[in-house]
Amino acid sequence: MTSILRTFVVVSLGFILLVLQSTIATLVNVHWVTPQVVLPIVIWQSISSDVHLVRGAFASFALGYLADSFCGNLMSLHTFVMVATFTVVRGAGLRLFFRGPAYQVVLTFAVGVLALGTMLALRAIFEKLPPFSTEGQWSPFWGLLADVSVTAFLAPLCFSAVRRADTLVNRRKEESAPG
Amino acid sequence: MNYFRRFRDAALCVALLALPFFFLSANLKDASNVNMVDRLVLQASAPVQFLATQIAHAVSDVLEEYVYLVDVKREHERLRAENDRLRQEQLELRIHAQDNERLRELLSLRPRLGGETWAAQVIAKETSAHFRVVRIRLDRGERDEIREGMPVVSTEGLVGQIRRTWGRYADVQLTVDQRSAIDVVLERGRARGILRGTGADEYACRIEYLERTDEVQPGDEVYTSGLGQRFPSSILVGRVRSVVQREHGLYQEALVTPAVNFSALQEVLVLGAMSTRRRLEHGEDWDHNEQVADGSP
Repeated sequence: MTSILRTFVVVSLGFILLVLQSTIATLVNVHWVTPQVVLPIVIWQSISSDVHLVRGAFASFALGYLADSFCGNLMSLHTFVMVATFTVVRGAGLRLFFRGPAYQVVLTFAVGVLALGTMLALRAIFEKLPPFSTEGQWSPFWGLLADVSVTAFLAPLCFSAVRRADTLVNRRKEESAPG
Repeated sequence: MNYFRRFRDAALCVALLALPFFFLSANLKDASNVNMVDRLVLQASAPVQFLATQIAHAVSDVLEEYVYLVDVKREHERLRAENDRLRQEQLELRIHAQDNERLRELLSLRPRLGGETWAAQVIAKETSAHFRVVRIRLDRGERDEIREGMPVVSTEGLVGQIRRTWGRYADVQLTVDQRSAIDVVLERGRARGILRGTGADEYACRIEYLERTDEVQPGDEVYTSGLGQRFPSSILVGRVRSVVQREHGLYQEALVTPAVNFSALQEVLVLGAMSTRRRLEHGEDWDHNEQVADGSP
């Protein structure tokens, strides 16, 4: 029951971050850069030892699905990439790197390049018309780099928020435990 | 048991990866290449996608509307202040337009009257106990070469004449003042007489020395005759209100309502010496006219 509640809290946090992002995007013209606010949450789950594989995969699925619903992109693109990111990072056993904000930024940047690169690749493979202009060959690269950089700099905040939310649920669980 | 759990976890992960991949491929495929499986996937996923998108957009919209509402309140206050300012400006513009219209009419009098003229503002009004204006003061005086006896007119008609001047100011004796006497002529019938102010608590004048045989009716317009050196001819003075005929005597009298609303006067024209052209047109004996203007028949 607690694991379900933890998953729900993590997904809710992702939902709140997406709502904030979409609201800020309507107020401030920052369309040239789109941080992936749910990506740090997915990474946090994959490197946290107490998050079960299936629970993490489900949460990543839900977070990806929410991102798809908010961004108006191709449905299931984020869902697939988020689940894949979770699986790959968990499989790579990167939890040793999870030490401080600098490591979090570097880790998120590296994983972000892979995840967003995968998204671009999938779109390039599946879509009939390429999602980017073939004339300016470097523009998708710079766009990806900007998105990943902003995501990486936001990562410590997201990590901190999701850790606090998870700790809060754990403390409630311990307080309610008999004896 | 442990092996089974591991297998189950791995299978679930693969399923969670495969599911969006199927959705993605089904969504991206060309309509002509969609097979039975893709169609089933699309049909199953479409309502879920629709619902999720609707929820996401609804929540976003609520938050955005709240943020916009904060802006709307600020905008509302700004617009209200601007509205107040514009209303004030509109009022000022309306007043300016009215002033402009009055001054334009006053200016149009100049070529008609001929001679030298001075535009002047009414800066003070002396009133009686019954709030009747008995004297007005102008913002032009000796320094502007204004002299006693100069006629004063407005767009409505004759106001009176300069009674005294000093410095930059001048007092005007109104046509309704009982000391005022002006040689007038009635437009209809050309009857002549001397117009004097009644000095009563209403704006009124009286025409004396109208011959008994002259045909005078209420409503007849009264103009300056031009006789005497003081007033040019054909300036509207007022309209006959009533006629008083006595049983005996050579003359009849008429009560006249002045054309000018003295209470609302703001700008006037002070007329200088009459133009030579006008004097030649009249060709009158000025000494005789002066005598007439003084009230002696």
